[in-house]
Parts: sequence; C-alpha cells; structure tokens
Amino acid sequence: MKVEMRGLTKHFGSTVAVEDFTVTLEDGQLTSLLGPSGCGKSTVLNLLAGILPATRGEIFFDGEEVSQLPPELRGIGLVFQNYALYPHMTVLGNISFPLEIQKVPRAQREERARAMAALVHVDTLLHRKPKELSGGQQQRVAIARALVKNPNLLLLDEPLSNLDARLRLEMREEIRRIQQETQVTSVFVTHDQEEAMSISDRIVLMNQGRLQQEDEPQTLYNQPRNQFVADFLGTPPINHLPGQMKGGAFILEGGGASFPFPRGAGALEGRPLILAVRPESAHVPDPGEEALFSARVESVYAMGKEVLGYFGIGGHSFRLFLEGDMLPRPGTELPVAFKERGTFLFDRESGERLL
Amino acid sequence: MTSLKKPRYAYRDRPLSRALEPFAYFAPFLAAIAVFTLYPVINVVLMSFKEGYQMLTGRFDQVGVANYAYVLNDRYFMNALQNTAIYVAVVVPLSTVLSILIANLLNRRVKGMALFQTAYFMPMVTSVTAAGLAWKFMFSRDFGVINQILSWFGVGKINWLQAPEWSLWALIIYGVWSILPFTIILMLSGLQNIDETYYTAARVDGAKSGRIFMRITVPMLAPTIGLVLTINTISTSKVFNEIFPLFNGRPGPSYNLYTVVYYIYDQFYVKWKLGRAAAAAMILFVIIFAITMLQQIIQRKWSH
Repeated sequence: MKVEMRGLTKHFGSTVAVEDFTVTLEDGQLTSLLGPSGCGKSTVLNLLAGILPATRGEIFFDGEEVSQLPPELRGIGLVFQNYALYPHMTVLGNISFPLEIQKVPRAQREERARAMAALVHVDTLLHRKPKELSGGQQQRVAIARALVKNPNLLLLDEPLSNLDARLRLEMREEIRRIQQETQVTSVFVTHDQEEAMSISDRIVLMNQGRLQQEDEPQTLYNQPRNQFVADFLGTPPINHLPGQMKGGAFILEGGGASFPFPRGAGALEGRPLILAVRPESAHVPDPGEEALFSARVESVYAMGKEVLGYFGIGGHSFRLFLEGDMLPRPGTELPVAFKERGTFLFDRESGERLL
Repeated sequence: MTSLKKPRYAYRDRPLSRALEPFAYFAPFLAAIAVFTLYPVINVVLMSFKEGYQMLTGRFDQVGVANYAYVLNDRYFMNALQNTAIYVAVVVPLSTVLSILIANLLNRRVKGMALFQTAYFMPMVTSVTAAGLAWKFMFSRDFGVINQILSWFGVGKINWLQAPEWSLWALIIYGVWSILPFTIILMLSGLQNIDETYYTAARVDGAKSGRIFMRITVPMLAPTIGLVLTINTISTSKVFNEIFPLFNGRPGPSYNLYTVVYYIYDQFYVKWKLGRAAAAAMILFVIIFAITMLQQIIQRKWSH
C-alpha cells in the first residue's frame, strides 16, 4: 500500500512534535523513521496508526484520505517496543486475538495463527505463555500478532531496543526476511543508524520534528543534504574542520594550518565553512601520491580488522582509518589526503551542503 | 579468566556474635509481637479448653472440651454461623464485582473525577457508628430514603430494621457499602499496574470496550481480585461493628442476627463465659483458615 503524508503536523500544547512533514512511502517497501530521541519519529508512527490525531495535514493510504479514521479502521498492524503481549494468553491465543475480535470462526483463526507462527518460527511454542519466552521469541510473537490480520501497513516502534546486541542483529535480519516474504509495506522506527542502514529500502531522517532527508540508505550516507544528516550517520562520526576558502586553499580556523583544496575554490570564498570528512575518506597516501598536508599522530587504536588513528592539525583533531598494518607511534608526522567521496563542505551557519 | 576471591565473611564462617547481630535489630519488634499478639493468641487457645474459667482469679475446674460441646450445641451459635455464612457469601462477591466496575470508571481521566473519588472513598474516613446511624435513618420504614426510592418502582414499604426476615439484608447492604472503598482502592492500584499499551494494542485491533474489559482488564486484574477475595472473606467473617448502630446495640430486632463475632462478644462481655467465647473464636479461626487455604489453592490453579 502506498502511504502519503502531506504537511503532517502535531503540536502538544506549545511543544512542536512534528512540523510540516511530507513523505511518500512506496508499496511493499520497508522504510525506517530514523532520528535522535525526541525527534518526532514515534509521533509520526502514532499519527499513521491513528492513535494520535494530527494537528494539521493529511494522510493517504492508496490515495484515500484516512486522517480522520480511528485506528481499527486503518488496517494496520502495530508492534510495540515492549511487545505488549497479553501475559494471560498463550502464544496461540495472542496471535489469534485480533482474529477473535474480527469474529473469525475458531477453526479458521487457529489455522491462520498457526500459519503466521510458522512464518516467524514460533510454531513449536504455541502453548507457552509470554513469560516463558525469550525476548527474541516474544518479539516474533508480537510480529505474528501484528501480521495475522493481513494489515496493509505494518508499524514497528523501536522493536529491537529491548534486546541484547546479538539478538538485535538476529532479529533485524528476521524482520527483513519476514517483510520480504510478506511484502507488507512497513515503517520501522529506530534511533540506531546502523539498524536503519542495514534493514531499510529507504530511510526518513528526522530532527526536531522536521524531515531532514529521505533517500536510500547508501545515498543518505554518500550524499547528505545537510550537516545534520552527515553527522548522524556513520561510526565513528564524520570529522569537522572549521575554516574558510581563500585563493584555492582551505584556511583552518585559528590559522594553524592551510592546505590546497581546489574543489572549494570560487563562489565559496569568504564564507564560514565546515569541511567534513568521513574517517574512511581520510587516509595516509601511498608514496608518489599527492598529500594535502601533514599532521601529527596523537593516538592510535588497533581494533582488530582496522586501525583508527587520531591526528592533530592546527589545534583541531580528526579521526581516520589507517591502512594495512600501519601502527605509527604518537608524535610522528604523517602526510594526509582526502578522497573526494565522503568529503563535504557545509555552510557553517545554515548547515546546508555546498559541495 | 580470573578466579573469584572468596568473600571475607562467608555466611557460615561468621563469628557467633556477628551471626546473632541481626536478631538484636528486630528484637524490639519481636518483643512487641510476643506481648500483644502471640501471648493473647496462646491464651485464647488455652482458655478454650479450660472449663469454668474465672478470669480474675485464674481458676478453672478442669481441662476438657466442654466449651466446644456447649458452643456447637448452642442454637444461637448455629444461627450465628448461618448468618455469618450468608453475609460473607453475599457481601464478598457483590463488593468484588461492584468494586471492579467502579474502579474501572474511576481509572479514567475525566474532568470532575476527584468529586467521584471523594464520594466513593467517604465511607473509609467515616466512623462506622456514625455512618451506621445515618443508615438507620435511611432504612427507616416510613421516613427512610431507601423505601422512598423503592416506592418509585412500585415496591411496598419494607420494614428493614424491625422485620427479622429483612434485617439480615439491611446488614448486608450496609456491609457492602462500608467495605467498598477499601476494595476499590485495591482494585484501582491493580488497574494502574496494567500497562496502557495492552489497551492500545487491543484497540488498534478493533476490540470494543466490553471485550477489552472481559478479555484483558479482568484477567490481568486476577492477582488483585484474588487478594481482595481473601482479605474481604476474612474481614467479613468477623462482621460485628456494623450490627450495633443499626439495631440499637442488639443482635437484630428479635435476637435473630447473631454473627459469630457478636456471639463471642456476647459470651465474653455480657455472659462472662470466657471459655465458651474462646472456643467460639477457635472455631471461627479454623473455618476462616480452611476457607482461605481453599481460596489459595483455587487461585494458584487460575493464575497466569
């Protein structure tokens, strides 16, 4: 089902939770609503579910306006952060409860519940109570309960946040598999960028109630529209070097250093800028390759598959991944170059991306 | 891997003085319990077997079961047992059902709810005797508001407090009223422990409020309901205070409304037969204990 939100706005008293939010979710896709806590992503989910009424704006499901419809008429399945499985019902009872409400005959609802349990791999646990299940199993049951009535839209509210790290990895793959098997249009709320990157067809990144960017995960990472997007995605976070352009060179703030940066020449001269570089885009060039500047090694962290170095230049420090088995001693001066990909220039005032 | 070091004081290696130390802390409490609870309880048990016991002198004729034999053959005691059984059997279920319904209403966030909450909790802060007198007027045959209301539905005048066949029902109505607030408080706290998302989940799936109440609220309230049943069974088995103001300090209009505790009181303070009072108390204890155990067993089977 195609979901369109137009100018969706939600105020709680004088607090703005969501402001002028316009996004379209394509049929059969899994979209993540991503952002820091308090950014309004869960509010958007509740607006989609109809649990909260919108202050302004419209929601369309397949072109039909549903903004005024109560939750039960919207045909949605909801998975809660704490799963909200009824503790007094068995797994089978929980999964078939939505069908019981719809007055589906007993034999039929049991059959559908069993099929759904098989899809999420809890078919051997049908007669257990929720408290006899692990977190991951409870999660699976919650998804089965949301899917059993064949919803047009599946809404998942931070479903992995109660799981430990290993289960979280397993369950996010499971959610992806179940979503692809059922082809149900899904919205997945999370504050975990890695989770969103790995699971989604598209990511909607929000901050302070506003849409920041809506794109495919890789595009969001490689082509951030503003500094917030660039900052929010990536571990370790992107490096910031404040400064400005002058005669084809980037003058680092504080005047401690400058280096040629021809890409930034021209119209950008004189404006306060942020040169943002992803840690994997900064590197120590091979001999014969051109370096931008040389920087002092401050500290080095060997982390198994890669080595992270903290470098200092002109009073600013930045992180980069060292290649191969390089383990320079702190205090050494090393040449540094930036790859074009993963290097951005942002306007320091507006945060807009200039390059 | 590092090996775990043994804690400095493993429990069993402690010197005796340290092991005894905790007892010193709760000794004052134990002393109070011993004097004010344990001693009287033991005394009642002993008293019930002493025949011809005189409290002031401490003398008694012999040890035996004559007190029990008397009480169990006393038709007033049998009548008291029957009255108490009917009272418990009606008041407990009725107050439980009413309190769930009322607590469910009070649990909503609606304007003016404070007024209703005050109204429902009023009996708790009112003296039983004062409230009992008020009820006595309400039950009045000719001027009472209860008969007035019933007359709107074509019910003739009922002589609540003077007709022996109605007096038990008057006592029951008053009993339900006085036990409700505490029961509602327990139910409310149980309701507030039910996470809001259960209701949201059911509502999103299209459940109407009646179904939510029967399929989610009541089952999830089961532990509280069990607690209320136990507490109220015990407290209603001891019905006594309510009788005084309604019937001018007599056990019903024609001495027909003895309850077990009223019988104990009567034997003890009025007839001064301490052994019989103690025997009746022991019988009541055994009955309450048996019922409570039965309840616990049934509830364990039901609970999730």
